[in-house]
Amino acid sequence: MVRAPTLESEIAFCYEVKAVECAKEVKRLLNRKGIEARYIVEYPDVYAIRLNDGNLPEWFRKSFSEIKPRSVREVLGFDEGDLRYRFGGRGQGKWPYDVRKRKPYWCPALRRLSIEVYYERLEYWKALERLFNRHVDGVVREFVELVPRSLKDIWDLDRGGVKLALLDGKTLKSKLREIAEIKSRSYNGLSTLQLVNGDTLLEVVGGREAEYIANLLSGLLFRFGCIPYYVELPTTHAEYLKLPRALYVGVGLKKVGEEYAKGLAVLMTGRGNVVGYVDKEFHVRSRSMEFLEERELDEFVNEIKAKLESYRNNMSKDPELIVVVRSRRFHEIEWRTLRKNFASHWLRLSSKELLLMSTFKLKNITIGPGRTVEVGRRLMSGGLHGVWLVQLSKFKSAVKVSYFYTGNDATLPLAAYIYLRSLDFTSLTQNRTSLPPVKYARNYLKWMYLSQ
Amino acid sequence: MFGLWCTRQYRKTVMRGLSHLFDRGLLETCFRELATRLRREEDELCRVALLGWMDFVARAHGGELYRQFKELLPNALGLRRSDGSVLINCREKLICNEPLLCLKAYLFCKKRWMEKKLRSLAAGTPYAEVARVLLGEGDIPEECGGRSENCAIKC
Repeated sequence: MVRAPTLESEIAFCYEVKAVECAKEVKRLLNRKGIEARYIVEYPDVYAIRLNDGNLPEWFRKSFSEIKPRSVREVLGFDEGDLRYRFGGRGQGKWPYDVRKRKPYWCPALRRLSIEVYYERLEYWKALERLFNRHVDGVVREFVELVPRSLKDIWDLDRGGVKLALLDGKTLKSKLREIAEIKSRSYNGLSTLQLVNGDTLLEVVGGREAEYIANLLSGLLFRFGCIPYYVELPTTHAEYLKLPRALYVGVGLKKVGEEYAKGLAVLMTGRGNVVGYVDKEFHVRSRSMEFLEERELDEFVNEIKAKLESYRNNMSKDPELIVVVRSRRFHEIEWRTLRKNFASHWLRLSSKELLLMSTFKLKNITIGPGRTVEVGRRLMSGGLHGVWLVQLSKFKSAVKVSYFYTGNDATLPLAAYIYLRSLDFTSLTQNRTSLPPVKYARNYLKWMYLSQ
Repeated sequence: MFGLWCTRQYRKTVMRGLSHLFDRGLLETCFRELATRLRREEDELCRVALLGWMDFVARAHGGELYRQFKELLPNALGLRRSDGSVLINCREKLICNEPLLCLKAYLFCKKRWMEKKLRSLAAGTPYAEVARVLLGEGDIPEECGGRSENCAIKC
């Protein structure tokens, strides 16, 4: 990562170094000179440069200064490997994969959980049963039972309760519309129907069986309303301790027609359980997905606010912090509307803080495993705006975390990214980059769209 | 179940200055045994439960044992910085947002507001069970090895 404090005329002539137009020009010129560069939209004087052999020409070094990545642990005092996972019955693990060995942290009822497994082919069920018995410890099997059911008709899946469907890959394609309709009807913030491609399941046998079954089990427990594990934040830094008691709002947006998009907000607690959702249709510009009518976004935010207030009324105290997350960049109108609504209404009610953040995977930009770079930060009216790049130890490339925070600790969004990521009970894989409430919102939107 | 009655009442008993009623030899044996178990215990929540009982025993005994306990506590809780200072600020309310940290902080700070926070932990969770130990209302959980005969203190 490099910053361009000054640009010499031999590189590019720009009136305003911090403008996107200038960054485009610089990128073109650098590419022409054989240097692959990408700029960061929010801070266009910062570029990611590909170092092929580590040597950059002298003229380059005169115009650009390097921003050295630091270790995540150095910045936060911990990294994702320091998180600890607390299960029920005094179990603590370094990995969420221990979910197959230990009772869940918390469940709404202490009764045994029965999961109906609808299989299209008997061999799918046999494979699952074998994996379950081989990799799930007795203490968990006493608590969770799989009840096999032969699938006669796809509409068998359209029943209450948590279900697991083991379907043929061809069925998943040929009956996509029906499956999407059943799936979207099963949602109540989170779907109670788990779909599994039976052919993929058969391929897992003899491979990464334990990881596969841990992922599946964690997702199923979550669909029952359980919290499979509690994530212990390894810090005493007061600012980061707001995160376990924060309320998270994941916002997803999907285009459903030429000029329409569906917006969905999923509300999640700092323990990872989903407590509500709000959906709305928007008029958008056909290509850019920008909102055409600010009024519609106002209404959406007001509905989210109403949900937040109803959640707040049911709780004994206010959340310490409200975190609004989405997977793509907030549009200027969105930032403004969200800030206006939350800041003037919600914050007036609770006097608590607000963090807006969006995350985006930067393909082909690497900064090194376990490393982070603060691209920039600036003080705006009412808070801090900034951008971090972070590449956790198993990421293939960096993730951009762009934020607006009404507090004054610029490292909180980075801590929030790591903590929130660990609350994804539907995927335990170490290289996942998406954040749970947004992922849940996007999945719901996908099924809603497919069913129409 | 005599010992269990004792744990429920220990705070009041110790605070009322009735500690002379405890068998001091047994208190010392119990403390040493708990200290040995603590060295082997890796689960942090179990460590907190053991320390909760050591706290009770050390207070009941008083004197040298209590001094030893106070000295070992920050290290045993993993709250000591490399420069020797302690990581926890006893007035920081946000500490109790993280239940494990709140349990540790309560052992270290013994603040009334922390007690309230511990009582509000969701029932049925492992943290709530250990909170009851620290509040003098529960025994060392079976998963942590329970309380041995050496610690069957008679009141």
